[in-house]
Amino acid sequence: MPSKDKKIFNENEAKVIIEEAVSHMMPEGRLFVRLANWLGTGQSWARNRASMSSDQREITLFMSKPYSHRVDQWRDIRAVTNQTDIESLKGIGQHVDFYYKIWKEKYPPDLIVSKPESDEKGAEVWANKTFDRNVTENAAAVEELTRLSEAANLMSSGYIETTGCTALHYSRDEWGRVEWQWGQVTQAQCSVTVREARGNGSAWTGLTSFDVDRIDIRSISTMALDRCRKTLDPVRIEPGRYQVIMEPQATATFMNLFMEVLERADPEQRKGGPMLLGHDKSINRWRSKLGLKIVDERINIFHDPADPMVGSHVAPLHRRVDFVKNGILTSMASDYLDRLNEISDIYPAFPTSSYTLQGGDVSINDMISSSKRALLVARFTQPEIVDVPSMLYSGFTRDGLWLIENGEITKSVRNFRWTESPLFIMNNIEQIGVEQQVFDPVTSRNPLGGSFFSLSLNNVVVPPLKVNDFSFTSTIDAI
Amino acid sequence: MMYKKTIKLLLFIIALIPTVNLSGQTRFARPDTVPDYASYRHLDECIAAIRRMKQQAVLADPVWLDTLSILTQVEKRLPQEVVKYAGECVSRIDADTVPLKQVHMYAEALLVADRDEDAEKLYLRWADTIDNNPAGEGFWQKILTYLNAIPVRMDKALSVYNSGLPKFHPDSVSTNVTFRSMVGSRLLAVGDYSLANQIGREIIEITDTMSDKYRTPAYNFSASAIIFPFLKRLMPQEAIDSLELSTEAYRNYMASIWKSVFGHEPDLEIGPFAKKAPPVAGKYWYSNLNSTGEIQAILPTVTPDTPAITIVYFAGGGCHSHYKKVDLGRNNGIASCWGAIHRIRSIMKQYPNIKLTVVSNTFGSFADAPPLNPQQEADTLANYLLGFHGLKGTHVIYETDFIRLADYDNRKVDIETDNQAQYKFGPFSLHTANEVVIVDELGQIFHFGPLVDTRNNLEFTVDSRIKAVMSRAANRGKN
Repeated sequence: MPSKDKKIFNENEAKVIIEEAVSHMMPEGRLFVRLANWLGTGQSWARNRASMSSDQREITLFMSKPYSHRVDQWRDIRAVTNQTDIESLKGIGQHVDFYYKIWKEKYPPDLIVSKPESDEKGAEVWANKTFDRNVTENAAAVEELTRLSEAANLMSSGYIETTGCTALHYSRDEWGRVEWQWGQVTQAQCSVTVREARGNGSAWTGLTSFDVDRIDIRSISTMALDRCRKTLDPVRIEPGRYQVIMEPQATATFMNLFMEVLERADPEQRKGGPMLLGHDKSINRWRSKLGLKIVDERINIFHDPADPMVGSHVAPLHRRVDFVKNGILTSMASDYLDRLNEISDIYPAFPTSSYTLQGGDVSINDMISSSKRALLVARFTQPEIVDVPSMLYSGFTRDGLWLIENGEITKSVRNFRWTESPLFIMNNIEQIGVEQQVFDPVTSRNPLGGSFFSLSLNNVVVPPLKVNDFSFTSTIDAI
Repeated sequence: MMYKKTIKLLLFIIALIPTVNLSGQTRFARPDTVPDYASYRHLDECIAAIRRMKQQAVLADPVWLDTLSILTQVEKRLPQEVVKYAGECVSRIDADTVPLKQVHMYAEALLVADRDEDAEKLYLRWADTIDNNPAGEGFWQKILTYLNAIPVRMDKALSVYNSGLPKFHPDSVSTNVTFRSMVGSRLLAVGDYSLANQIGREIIEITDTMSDKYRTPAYNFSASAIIFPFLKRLMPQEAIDSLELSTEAYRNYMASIWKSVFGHEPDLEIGPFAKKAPPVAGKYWYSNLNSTGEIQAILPTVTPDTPAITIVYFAGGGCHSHYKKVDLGRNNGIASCWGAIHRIRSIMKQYPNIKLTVVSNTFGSFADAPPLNPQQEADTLANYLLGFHGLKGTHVIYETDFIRLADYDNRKVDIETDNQAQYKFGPFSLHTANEVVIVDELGQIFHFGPLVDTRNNLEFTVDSRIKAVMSRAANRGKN
């Protein structure tokens, strides 16, 4: 539950406000009201100087009254306010009712069938420590980092954000039945970039979690400094196929590409996609690779709403989905109606932006020490599609690329352009490390205040991978 | 000070009032019918004015164009003043330099101005610069421009047609049929029955290459609309007059003419006319034909049955379940379902003595609702069509059987229902929704086809067929 020291609406307070707003409105028709409320801290710095340090908060009272649900169009009257005094609540309700009466005349009533809801609950994505975090605590960590980086003649920049968000959702159907839904979530993230003053080396570290305790800002900062020193004066080596140790952030880049393809599941829209086999005339359906082994049998990819690192307790239609099980493609993303019409299942398998790639038990140090000649990659950036059916992409390495020789990191290496496919990578795995949550920018400070009452976080948990024959096609000058 | 300002503002507003009214009156003035060259900023506006003049000239003619003999129609000339205005308007068009983006429109204007050579020059330039698209759209558009010109440029149209058809592409079959249908209809209007027939035969050939998924009765109607008038020209007028359309004798006679002309049995279904209408099958039966108008489950009965004239409306399985997935096009998914229901309702209102039998089949779900068992779905469908949409009649619902694809895919593949199997006549089948069968008072099929009316197939429109079946029934009664 939210702490008492900071002001954010709890469930009872929100309920009083919504009930007040509804009491000034006509009892006719469907009605949705949502009171979302977030409070957070923000800290950013650049070139070793703090540029912003603030507390932020926002209240959103969103109201929607549908007057027709005809065909494929949801027509409603909407209004939003950030005021919760009685006059404002009265005003917003009257505004919605006024236009509702006008538009109701123009559109015939239509049959409205509500989506079902599941009793399954996910994990609690709330940490009191994240909500209680204040800027002073962050400032101390930032100050230490900037002092150290200045002393080392390095430039650091980055940001730290923590947010606590609560929302109460009220829905009333055309028969006057009322349902309440309460949600609360915290988010924390930290991103640190350190560069050598003349641009001769660069490193980045970052992490996202609902629990700020899982983000050790001090160690992230020192790691960035340390890494930057290790990237200084990179040497140029020949491009070609190398054994590669991908840190979790690098693995996540490729995994996101793979998961994106699973999202595009409508065969009519994507003829010949990487997961489709072809149109089967006998059944008038597109056959897919579902049920076929597509990657290494050690690969398991799933979404589990019970895991607070990826899940959410306010997404009632989510449940555990196994996308890849022992290397076999077992599920593809589909929306609710596809699922309902084609499989008679109310659970859509769509949370592909939030997933876990199950790891093993090998540490990165063990991977390094067991390599004769390999490259250690911190990050991949700017992947662009080259060939759709084989999922071939091309992009760059960034913020750390080191050569490993006889079990030891020997030198920093100039960045490469790579041309590679996630399918190839996942079929050439040598070792799998321990999975961990990686950095993924938060898309909204108010994740419960969107159009639909469901939480969509891009939380990714992946392990480091050691992969054979990774293809680097040319060197690049950028550092 | 404030007071003076308010007075000034009021005076200003009062002074504005008459101006606002006047401008309001002139806003919706009819478009000009006499070209006003000074006001046209673009050539397009000038050409639009020619089109309006041309249309006005045709409408103003005391003699309807299509009542004239073919030769007179083809040689009919536009009033001299239209030609003169068009001449002035297109004086800006230099066939050597005018942009080719709207080539057909420019050619049309040049033909009105009797500048045939320039129109041809324009087409030659265009042919050099573009690759014909796979559907041959440009090719057919060119023929249509010549055929639609007044007077008709028959020789030019023929020379284009004889210059060779563009290559077909399987993806553009529909466009191929559509253009052929347009050109064929126009050829019938201008009296070239032989070429029209040839084009009708081409439509049959194209339709034969289509997979079941794309082949719809509409294509057969396109061919029918061209070929049957051609065959009728070969029949003695007395024979046509003595035989009623939709009788077995008429069908046999048409088949014999077909055989004598083409040398083989008809490869286009003349229609399942005069065949005994099979009784529709179903597990769930509802009716609202009782005195209270309430929807009640009834015992299975025989329908269609004598001596009532019956419309059997095949609403289609799942027609109402996809409403979030399709666009609001006239011929698309749910939109056509809604349009069809509206159409059926209006027909039933117009002809209250006709009986209605609605035929549906279960799909597994309905709109957003959770998966339904067949009984629940049947109840929902009956409430939806008979209750919500207010159709008055008997509703028969068939429980669709299905198979499931192998594990992990698990999609349903529906098995053909008994109704779909029984109401299949040659190329006419009930794979698509929203089709009707009109059954006469003797229980014989009088009309079979889509509910959508198209201007090109006047002979087959539901409205005209209902009038015909009623008049025949009335005549039989007298006899």
